[in-house]
Amino acid sequence: MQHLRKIVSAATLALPFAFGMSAAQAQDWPPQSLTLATHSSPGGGGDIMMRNLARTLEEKFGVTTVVDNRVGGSGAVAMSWLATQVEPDGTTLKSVTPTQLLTPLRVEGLPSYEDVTPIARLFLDPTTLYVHDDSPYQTMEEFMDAARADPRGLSIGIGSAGSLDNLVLQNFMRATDLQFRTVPHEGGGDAVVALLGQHIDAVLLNPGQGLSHLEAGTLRILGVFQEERLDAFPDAPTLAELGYPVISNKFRGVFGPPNMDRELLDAIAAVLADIYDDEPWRTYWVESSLNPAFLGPDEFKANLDIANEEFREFLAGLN
Amino acid sequence: MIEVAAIGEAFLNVITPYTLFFLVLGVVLGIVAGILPGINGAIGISLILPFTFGMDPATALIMMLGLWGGQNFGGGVTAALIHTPGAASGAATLFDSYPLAQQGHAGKALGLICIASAVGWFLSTILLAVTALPLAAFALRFSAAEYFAVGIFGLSMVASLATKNIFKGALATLLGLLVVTIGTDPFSGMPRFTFGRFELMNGISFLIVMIGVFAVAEVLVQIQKGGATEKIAAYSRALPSWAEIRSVVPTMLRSTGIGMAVGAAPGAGGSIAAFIAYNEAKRFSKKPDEFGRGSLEGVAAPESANNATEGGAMVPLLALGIPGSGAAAVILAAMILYGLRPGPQIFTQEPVLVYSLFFGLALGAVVLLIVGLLLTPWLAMVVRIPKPYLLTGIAGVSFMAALAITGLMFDVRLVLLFGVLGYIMRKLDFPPAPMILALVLGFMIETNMRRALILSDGDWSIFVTRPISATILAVAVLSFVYPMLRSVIRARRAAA
Amino acid sequence: MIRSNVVSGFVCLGFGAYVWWLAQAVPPMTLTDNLGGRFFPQLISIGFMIASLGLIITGFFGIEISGGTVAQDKSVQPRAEGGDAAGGRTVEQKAAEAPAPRFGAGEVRLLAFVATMLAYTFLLPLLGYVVASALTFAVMIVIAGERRPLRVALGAVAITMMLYALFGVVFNMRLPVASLY
Repeated sequence: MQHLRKIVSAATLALPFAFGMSAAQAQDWPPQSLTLATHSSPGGGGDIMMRNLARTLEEKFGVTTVVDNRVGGSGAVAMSWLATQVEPDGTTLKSVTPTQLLTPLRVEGLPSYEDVTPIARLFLDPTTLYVHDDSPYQTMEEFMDAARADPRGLSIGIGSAGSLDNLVLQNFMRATDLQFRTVPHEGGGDAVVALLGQHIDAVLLNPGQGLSHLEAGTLRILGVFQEERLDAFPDAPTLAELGYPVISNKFRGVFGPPNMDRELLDAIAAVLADIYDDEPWRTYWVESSLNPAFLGPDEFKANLDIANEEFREFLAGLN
Repeated sequence: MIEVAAIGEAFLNVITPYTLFFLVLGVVLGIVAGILPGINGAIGISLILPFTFGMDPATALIMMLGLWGGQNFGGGVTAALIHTPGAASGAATLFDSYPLAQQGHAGKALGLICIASAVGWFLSTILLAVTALPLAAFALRFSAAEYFAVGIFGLSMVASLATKNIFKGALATLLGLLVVTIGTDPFSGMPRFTFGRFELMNGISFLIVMIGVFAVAEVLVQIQKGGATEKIAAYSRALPSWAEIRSVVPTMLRSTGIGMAVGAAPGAGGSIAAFIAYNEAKRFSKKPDEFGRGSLEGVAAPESANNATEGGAMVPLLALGIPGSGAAAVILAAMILYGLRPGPQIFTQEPVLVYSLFFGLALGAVVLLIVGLLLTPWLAMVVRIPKPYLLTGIAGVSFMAALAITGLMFDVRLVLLFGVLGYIMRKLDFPPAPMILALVLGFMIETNMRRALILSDGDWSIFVTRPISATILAVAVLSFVYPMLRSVIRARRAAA
Repeated sequence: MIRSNVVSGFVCLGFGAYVWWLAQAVPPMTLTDNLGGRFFPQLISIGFMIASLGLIITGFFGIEISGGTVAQDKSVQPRAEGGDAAGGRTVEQKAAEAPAPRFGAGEVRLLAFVATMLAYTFLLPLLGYVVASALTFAVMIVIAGERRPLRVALGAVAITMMLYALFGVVFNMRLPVASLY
């Protein structure tokens, strides 16, 4: 079985490379067996991303993959492992979300993004504000007017405290000079349940968390915290259009171990940049309402530098 | 709403040998995953995920659901045999199944766990098929205040747990509540009581404490006692008799209802349902004194309840598209991969699939009953392993379990630490059960208390002005006071 | 006086006070809620100290108040004193039988076993799963009372392999690998 699979994979592998990819891909990637690690437990966001990436690479290149859940310590377990125990040969990648920046800022002495190799940013997770269909607020302006009339009168649910949604909500309150009650939950799903039960007035989440309800019309998007409107919900304005340029930077990407070879790095990035239309990768990001937002190693690193400073300020103000 | 054609098609889909084969495989894998502490349903399901990609969605999902249900049964097996739950949901099972097995009735204990699991699973499937949408609507009425009340209600059961000294019982409970506060403060996202260790950022897993306080402590007690060649004097692989099964039928029915209701509320889970069902079984029992010493009702109640939570958890998963647990999250991810989108519409858009899942679940319960009862005599032989090997094996399993949870040596040492603590507690008559109960419920109580107070903007009356919350809290107070009152009344009568 | 109750009561009292002090370092309110991360732990630490005091005081007077259903237990036969007017209270003269600390073979086995388990956690990353487990399990089997060498060896290898097969092979768990060689 295993042998058969390798023969098949060799055949499929030969095809794209025979027709010569770009020069940067002189390096062979992906390798025959690939480990995709994540800090999230089975069923978590990072886990689902890596399982879909694994399957996409398996189907496209015929390689074998393993998804490795290095759970614990709010991502610190996975980061320490990546920084100290992984060979920089391109056989191991790890998923990354803002958690990997936030945790080292909370606890001293943990490896940060500077101790590993950022390879690529793959997606931006759009942050949106949505309300129940029975809510009296039809537009973002009405919602904000109500908040202005009654400071701390409205409650907004978020997935968890100290998360990026918390930061976006805080920036939103600062930019608009409004006061909301922030209600953290045990994950985005719980916040959606609270909204469906109308125990809170709105949630600030990725639309993927409540997609079936948003499409069925039981929930309604009022505003989008990114530069452009969402394709799936073209009626919801961006906050910038309303005069408050609050943008969320909830990235999803991959890191590698420290000291990776430059050519290898480019080869991995080139493959990752090229698979957005392959299945099941495409189904995954469309269904999860992610925006493809590819950045190569250097741009991703620069982006992380900026994000890290913003997160540092945010955490300093949390307690 | 109910389409006969869709039901018929779904039934024919499920009854094929192809689907049945994978259902049986799923259940068997689930039982093994459940037996091994530290391996939970979510891990098991994500392991089979890659193998299911070639299958049709209904078959793949039925296999996963089979694994999930089998896992709930396996957790109880470990509880009965080695005094530690193989899965979180088996936590309440050990109170009575372990004494029963130690009295020589290993076959009876395991057989009853299997039957109760299958009954809970089967009946909750029927309840699911009939009540999914209304139940989902009801679950939405639960807000933070109600979840807090449920937590307090669960905690009120400490009053009826056997304790030699009530102050020691109280201290054990409070210690459990304190352990839960270690980790990340859920309302600031900042570390709390972590002593600068990143290993503690996610808190201490409740399974780690359980494995230490029950399994390792038990090993230490046995080691100190000595007597290497002594075996369990009486030993029987016999399954429970019909009369015994009949005697626990009311308990199983009640516990199924409890499990279904608790499971339908996202965020609660199998272990909480099992504890509540155990307590209710005791309250309704004609022989409450037997609880803790091998009561058949005490074995059946938590197992029916924790298997019923699977049917319950399918309610928010199918009707709302929201996973209530790790295992449900993996199943949701798989559904999305297959291009299915759970939510209220799935009942009208994909009726064949939904009914297939219902049939698959119902058949899974039957498969569990058959496979479980066939396995029972073999599993029961574990108690006959000579002591030196059995104790070493339990110690080894405890370490593997800790490693399986996070892979950190820190957690392995934590298991040992809690083992020593559990040993000292037993020697000094501090009861471990209230501590475990507090561990299961503590997080739910603290977070929902704080969340409710945000929602009410600091007004404490929110807990008593909301009708559901007020009712549950009132019942909680009654069930806390009742066991004390009863003993007072009995003492009076005895004196008169 | 029940000495073990009084002593453990004082230990718990100290622990409760320590938790109170520890919680002082937690900020009294967070950005999202006014109760803060301090309220709940401090509330519990107060309860902890009150319960400890109760244990000390009742222990001092030699009283045990039982809860739950244990009062019906035959092994703790209540010695009713004057019709048990306190209701549900079981007064036990346990003071006399407070176990004097003795140190026999059982305690030696116990300490040896704990030490072996602790050693295992250090050997695992050093020697890897298979070697460390086989060695440790062999020692454990000996401590637990099996002295025939062949059986000890077979038992240790069998347990090591069985756990390896179940956790490592079937459920694909990462087992510790050796760093020494």
